[in-house]
Amino acid sequence: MSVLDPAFILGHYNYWVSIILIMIGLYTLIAKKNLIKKFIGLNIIETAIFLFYISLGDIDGGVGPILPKEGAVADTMIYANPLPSAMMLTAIVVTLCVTALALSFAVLIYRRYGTLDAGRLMEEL
Amino acid sequence: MIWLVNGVLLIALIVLAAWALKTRDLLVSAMILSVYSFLMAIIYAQLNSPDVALTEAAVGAGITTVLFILAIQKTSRMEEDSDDETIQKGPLAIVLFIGLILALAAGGMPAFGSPDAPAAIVSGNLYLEEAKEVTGVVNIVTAIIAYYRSFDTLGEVTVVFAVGIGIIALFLRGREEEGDDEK
Amino acid sequence: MTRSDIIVRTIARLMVPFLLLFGAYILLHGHLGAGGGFQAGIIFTSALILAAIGRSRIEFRSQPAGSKLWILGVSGAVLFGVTGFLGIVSGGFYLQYSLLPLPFPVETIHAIMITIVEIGIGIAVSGMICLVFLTITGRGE
Repeated sequence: MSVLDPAFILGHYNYWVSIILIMIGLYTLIAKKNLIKKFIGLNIIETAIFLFYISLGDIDGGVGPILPKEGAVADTMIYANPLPSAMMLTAIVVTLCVTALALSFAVLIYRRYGTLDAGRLMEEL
Repeated sequence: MIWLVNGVLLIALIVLAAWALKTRDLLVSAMILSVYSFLMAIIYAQLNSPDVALTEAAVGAGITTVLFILAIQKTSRMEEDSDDETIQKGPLAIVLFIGLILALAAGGMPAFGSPDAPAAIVSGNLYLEEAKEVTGVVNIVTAIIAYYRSFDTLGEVTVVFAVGIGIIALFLRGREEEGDDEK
Repeated sequence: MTRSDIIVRTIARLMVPFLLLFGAYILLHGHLGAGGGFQAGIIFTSALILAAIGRSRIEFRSQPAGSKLWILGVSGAVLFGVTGFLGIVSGGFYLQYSLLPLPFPVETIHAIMITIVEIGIGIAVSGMICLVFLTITGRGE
């Protein structure tokens, strides 16, 4: 399987997009000096990771993991993998908590030092 | 046809992420993040995870944006000038290196959506086969969250709890210090 | 906040009851369709935030309201934890519900306990996140 094989590139396209998003988020996190901008980069990385996991769980021709209420499950039905969904639900709420804590730190830092610029904060400290 | 819609959405995600990185107005950046999360929710729904899509639409496009706007309102709206516009070589090199490693790893994965992937054969089928009989719950994701992986969820509620307590403690302490300054 | 914008205030006020209803639906319907405790908690929180933005009647602006929210968040987490201990009391493991002495089949017991756990999660998440919002705006505490 060659790297430039179109089937190989198209067969993994969700993975490539999530890698590009992780790179954009990581660049924001490292290169930008503003703290709130850094947190936006962190959020981009986290959603990219969710995209990666959800892509793992999807199956061609499948439907969402909600079974019919009455009667047995038909053998011909393909259901998407429910485990990545369950794990990512937990991760989304933890992400929200991390963002909330980080932003309150940012508000308190601004109240005390009057700046959110990481370079100036290092000088102040 | 659905792959075309998917492709447009994924390209829009990359463009929005790059725009959020480029703009110097933090409020614009936060609103772009909200749109980005909403597009992401549509993609999750298309990838057959309705629960995650619902959560992402409520959390990513809703509460996270509210918190960002609140923080921007309490601080300053524009980035400060000490950031230079040009692309910095050091961070770019690190990011490209990490991206290369990730791409090599992802190249070894089974193709997206393939029914033969280990993740599809092993991990999901256990829950799909027995969850309805054991728990009487039709939505398997709910069954996993509240029954099979209860300890995970308990830990998560603990995280929410700890963050709430932590933020209250932080702000109370901040207020006390302000009071000290006034004296 | 948008004190002057009458359109935003009116729409926000109108939306609040529908959002609360939608949250209740998501919470109680979580075992049949998409949804569950977290989602419902987040939707409740957004309803309360919208109420705070619209300055409608259920706004929390006083000191006691903040402490009540704190109790709400704690009671959700405690409901989850104590429900887990029922498993030990009935002779099983922590968070194991199959041995509870209730006159139902096992899967009905599981469904009931899952609903209780989801309600606990929803209360905890909505109480705590709402408290975080009010604390950052400087109105809660």
